[in-house]
Amino acid sequence: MNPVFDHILAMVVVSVMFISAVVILPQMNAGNFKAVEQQQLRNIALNLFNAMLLDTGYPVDWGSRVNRTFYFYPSVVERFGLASYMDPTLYVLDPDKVQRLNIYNPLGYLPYEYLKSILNLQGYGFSFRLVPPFNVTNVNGTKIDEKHTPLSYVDSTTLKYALKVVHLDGRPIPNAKVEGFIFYSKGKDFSLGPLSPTVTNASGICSQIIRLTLSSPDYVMVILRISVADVAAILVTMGRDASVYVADINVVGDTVVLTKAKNPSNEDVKIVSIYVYTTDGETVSLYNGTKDDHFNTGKSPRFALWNKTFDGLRDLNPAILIFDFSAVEGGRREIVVAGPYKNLLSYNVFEYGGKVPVGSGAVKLQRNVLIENMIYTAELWVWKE
Amino acid sequence: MRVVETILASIVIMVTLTFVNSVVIPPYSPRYEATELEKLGYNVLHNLEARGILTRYVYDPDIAKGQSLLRSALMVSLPSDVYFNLTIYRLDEYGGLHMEGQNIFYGDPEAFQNPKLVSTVTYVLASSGDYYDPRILVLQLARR
Repeated sequence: MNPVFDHILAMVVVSVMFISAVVILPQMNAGNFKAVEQQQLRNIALNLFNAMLLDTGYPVDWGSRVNRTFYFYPSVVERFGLASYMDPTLYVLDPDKVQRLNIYNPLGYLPYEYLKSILNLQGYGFSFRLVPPFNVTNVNGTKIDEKHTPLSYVDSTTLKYALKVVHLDGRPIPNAKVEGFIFYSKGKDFSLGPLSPTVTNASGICSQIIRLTLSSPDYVMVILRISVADVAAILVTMGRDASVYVADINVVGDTVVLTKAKNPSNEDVKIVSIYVYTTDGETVSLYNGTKDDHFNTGKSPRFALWNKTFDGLRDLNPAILIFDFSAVEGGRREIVVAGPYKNLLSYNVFEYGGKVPVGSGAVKLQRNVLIENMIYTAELWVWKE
Repeated sequence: MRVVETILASIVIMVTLTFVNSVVIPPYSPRYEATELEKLGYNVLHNLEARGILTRYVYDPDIAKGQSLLRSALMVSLPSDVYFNLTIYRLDEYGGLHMEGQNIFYGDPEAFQNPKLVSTVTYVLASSGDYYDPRILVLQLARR
């Protein structure tokens, strides 16, 4: 064969093989590259999750009263971590720090973009969620909120609640224990009392009649503690939410802070008494107001209307604080308000961070955490932006 | 002849590259998921113990009742897409292991068929009170 023809043939064959290799090999490796990327993302997520759940951050009490103020300034945080500095047990989170992730916290929160810059997470997005151990809904499956309350009046002195307890995938939970306390007021009178413990039936449904000592109360607050094998969730349900025009209740460490309501009513309000409903289901009388414990809901230029430190409050594991207020304008009347964890330590999913993009290959990690001695599943989603 | 050699050499290189590409262990492997489940399993048992729930139910004198409650506690503590199979062993004075009660199981048995996708956590409780009375908990986890 002519050597020239030989070389031309060889060049053609080698060129075809070279081009094939250039085109095909990257495609063959694409899966591996994607897997490497996914694994890198997983490592980043794991490091981030460990930092969030196992590290206290710096200062160790960055969510509490730093520089003697309960207002929170993000610049205080030098290193991020949610672990409790008072409890060395792993996966115990500090409620003050977790509250600073609540963007509705009137005393300040840690913005998502700022946190990303502290964590050096440029180019990545994340979403942090706290998921309750189970769901509590109305009997028809609708979410319990101010418009869809499980409370209904049978007659003027008889109240009824009915709810459904289900696993997160919707299966009913039978034999869930339901207990709680009722706080209510009518005119100048205020009353409170425990509810008889009961359990859910095979369909996960539970209802109970509550006899009232005051007829047709103006304000009713029912706090329910639902537990499945001693793993509990707390539900606050009410007839009318007075917090929108009286005050918002906040707790920072051992300090209770009342802040301006969303629609302040502009009236003088006295603090008659404060009760604590603990995560263990106990009601403790915390404080009886004095003549000095009053504030104006609207006139005060101050954002924080009233505050008081109660040594040892945090040790009680407070789930909910219940205030019996006395409003003096337009005739004296008692008002019941509860707080502060309406958006956080309840049966709702708490979410912080970005929105998980669909089909982004986001990595999800899950851990079990304790906040105020209550169990939640912490979820972290991380993706490349 | 050189042409044939060149072509053969190119083919050998191509085959080698393809072979290496096919036998290399991809980083994304079910083993990572199993490791993740192990961490979650240990974490859940640890939190249940920290709250006193695990010890209370494992050492319940009414074994069937205790194990039923422990199943409920695990079901609400673990994510809803995680299946589990918990076996509790009691250690006698001669070092022999005896199974306590029944397996505490939730989920689809099929999910536990592939050992690569199942993670196992071994957790030891020393006692429920003053005297040494260990229980060994073997928790198997699989994703739905």
